[in-house]
Amino acid sequence: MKIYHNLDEIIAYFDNAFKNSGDIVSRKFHIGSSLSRFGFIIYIDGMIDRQVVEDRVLTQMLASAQRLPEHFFNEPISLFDTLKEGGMTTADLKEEEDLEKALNAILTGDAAIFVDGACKAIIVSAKGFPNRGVNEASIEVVVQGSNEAFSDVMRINTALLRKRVRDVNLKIEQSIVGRRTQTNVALCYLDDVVRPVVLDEVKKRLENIDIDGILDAGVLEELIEEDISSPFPQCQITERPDKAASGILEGRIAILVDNSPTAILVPCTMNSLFQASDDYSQGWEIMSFVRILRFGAAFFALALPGLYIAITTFHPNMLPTVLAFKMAAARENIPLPAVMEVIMMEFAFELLREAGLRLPRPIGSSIGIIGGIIVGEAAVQAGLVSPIVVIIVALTGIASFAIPNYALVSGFRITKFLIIGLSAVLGLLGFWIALLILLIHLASLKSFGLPYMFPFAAGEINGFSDFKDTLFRAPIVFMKKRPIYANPENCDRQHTGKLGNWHKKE
Amino acid sequence: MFALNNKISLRQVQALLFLEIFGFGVTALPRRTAEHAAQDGWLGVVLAVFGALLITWLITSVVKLNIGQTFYDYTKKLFGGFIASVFCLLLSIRFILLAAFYLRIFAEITQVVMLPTTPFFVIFIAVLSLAAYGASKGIEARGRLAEMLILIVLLPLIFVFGISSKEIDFTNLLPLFAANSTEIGKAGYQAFFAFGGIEFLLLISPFLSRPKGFRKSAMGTIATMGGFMVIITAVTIARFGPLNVVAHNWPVLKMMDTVSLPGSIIDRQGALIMTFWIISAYAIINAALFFSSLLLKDVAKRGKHIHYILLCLPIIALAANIPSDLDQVYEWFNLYNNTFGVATMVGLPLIIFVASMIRKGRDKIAQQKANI
Repeated sequence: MKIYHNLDEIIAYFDNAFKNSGDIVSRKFHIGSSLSRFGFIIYIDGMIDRQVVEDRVLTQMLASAQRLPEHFFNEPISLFDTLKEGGMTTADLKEEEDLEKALNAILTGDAAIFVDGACKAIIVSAKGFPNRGVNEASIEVVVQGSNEAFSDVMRINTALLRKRVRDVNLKIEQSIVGRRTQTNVALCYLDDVVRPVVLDEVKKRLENIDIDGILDAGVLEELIEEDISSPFPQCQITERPDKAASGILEGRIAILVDNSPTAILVPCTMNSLFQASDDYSQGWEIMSFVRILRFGAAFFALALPGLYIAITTFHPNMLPTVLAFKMAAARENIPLPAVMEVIMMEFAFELLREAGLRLPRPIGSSIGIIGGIIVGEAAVQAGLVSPIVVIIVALTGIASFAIPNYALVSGFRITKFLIIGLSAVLGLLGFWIALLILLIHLASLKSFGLPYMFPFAAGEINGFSDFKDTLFRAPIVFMKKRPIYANPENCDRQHTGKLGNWHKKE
Repeated sequence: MFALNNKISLRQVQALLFLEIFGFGVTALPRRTAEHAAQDGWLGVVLAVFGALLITWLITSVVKLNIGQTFYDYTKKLFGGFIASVFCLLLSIRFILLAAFYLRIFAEITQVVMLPTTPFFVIFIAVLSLAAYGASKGIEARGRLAEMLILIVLLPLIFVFGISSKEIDFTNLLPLFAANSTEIGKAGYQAFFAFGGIEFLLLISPFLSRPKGFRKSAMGTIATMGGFMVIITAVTIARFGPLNVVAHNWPVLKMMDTVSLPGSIIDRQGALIMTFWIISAYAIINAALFFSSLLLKDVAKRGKHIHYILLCLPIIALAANIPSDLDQVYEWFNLYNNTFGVATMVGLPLIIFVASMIRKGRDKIAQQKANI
């Protein structure tokens, strides 16, 4: 809709649009000394930086108008252009001819200035809404390296990425998603490294979204995932700008959602969810050990309770005699079958985990202690569960904490119960059937066309070079090629020469 | 995008082939060969490997002559729609029965080793549901899964057989050539059926992402698999002696069960090793289900693949339930191998190969005439 010629009509339009909105600030004012021409400014209180709007825009504009010759006020378009070009000391402004777009700009925290008869508006970007600034990472904590985390404000987040990737090829394409929330969404990628086909696919999926509101990155994540029935994350959510920057350098796309302190990294493989930021800050030997530990932990978190049930219920003869006797003695006088013991304790553990998350931090840790020690001990004392089950469930829980991605852990938490159920019915046969169901599911999953289990499956697509960053983390100097995410035409990551023996080289 | 749609790489074909053929057929291989050739049973396996390589050469030739086409499409071109449908149905029945036999044998082994009180139908439902789920996910997922599973199957097997080599008495294999050529030939004939499922290659053509090198990959896999089969047979016979091998239904399982792993916390690894046979059983039943339903869909020319998978499930379960005991299973399995097995593993590839060559010759002559 074109901007009205008559200023009063514009004012009436906004009065109607912002009816019953107490936070709207608007003012009709005279321009120049002749008092023949009016201007109108409108913005939302609290969403703009008042100082910028008042001092650098309004005051400057009015002062400049005072100095203009009389004939300017008879030509509103010339007046508008002159005020826009020379009357404001801020760089971030643009011209808008569409009234609805001007309205949306006001809603996103810009100020709009209209000149009577000009049929145009000056949109001044002076966003100044409250935010928490740059916080410390609280979920993906690292031992060594930056601890900066994304903020709620997208512009701060894009700056955090720019701070790390100072390359003109870093593109930040913005679009708006959500009919009512008008949420800004930014695609951040390296123009010459990203795979165009993936970028097109991401844009296509974003364009496909028609929803009233996006309030968090998680909502967007679900809307662009390939298989929504899967409990496993097909996008990687991170709160760490260094991780997002690292993903961008690999050729991935970081999607930033306004008001969300996380970035979505796509495409994503299960292997990438086992990688943590500080894997590259410490020596490759120790980090390879940690990686193996993480994969082992994933197996424990997933399979340990099911394996325990299968062996104790169906195949106790597999165990050495002494261990079998010990386990039998521990289960003596327990009224419940092993599967019920495990399910009961797992349920209790999940309850404690959820309660610990929702409570304030100091109380949350107390809940962990109360749950882990007191409830577990009491359950054993009461003869409801055997001590071995407490050990199994505790180990499963600890193992799940060793996996660096929370969404992946959630996937394992759900599938663990499938393994428990089938192991309780069919022993080791059920255990393996459940594992195979899981593996079939994972083998069929894709993230933006990339096999989810890459490089463990289909590793040859990238000449098996991605194996250098899986169970073992090869020395960085050996990772010459970018991972599979990158455009094959620009997949060289480094040309570092041979390291070490510097004295000999000299 | 990255992954080719509904296509698999040669590496994935190799992994699928290895999983589908190797494993399950091996459990009774030493017994079946030792029954005819005693300690020379392994020589029978060597013969069978050469036979399998020959058949692989034939099948890969057929595939090379009909790149990118489905089995139904290229047999229709060669023989017409009716014969093509008959061939498809024949192969489909072959695969359904193959799945039924392996399902029943697997259920029998499972009852003996792991779940003595669990009824067959529970095992049938569990394994068939799993196989159907895998088949419904399509060829790409099957290929990727095979790449992951092959390590889970192979590494423990190699480990256990490596350990067992300490307890082998190689004098059990002596004297060599104690059996005459007829006996070794009979052993070879029996061993050849351990390669049952080799016909899956006839249907792989439309799924190949890169047909170049297909023959080399397929023959390399069969040769490697054959090597494993020869070693397993020889090691098992050397461990127990030919007489004891014949006395056991599944001597390979028996051998794994009795191997003492150094420092192991597991006393009886039979049940653990059994889990690797679960993967093998899954692989072959899944492949049989996938391809039989695909053939039925091609003949019917309507419906979705999943509908035919669901159609095949009760047929396989019912067929697996018919034999009264294990003896009858093996008796019927022998009969099935001698009829359907020979017809589809040897006859069908040979007929299609000859027909393809004749057609190729005719096309060449026609082209020469056209050029003149």
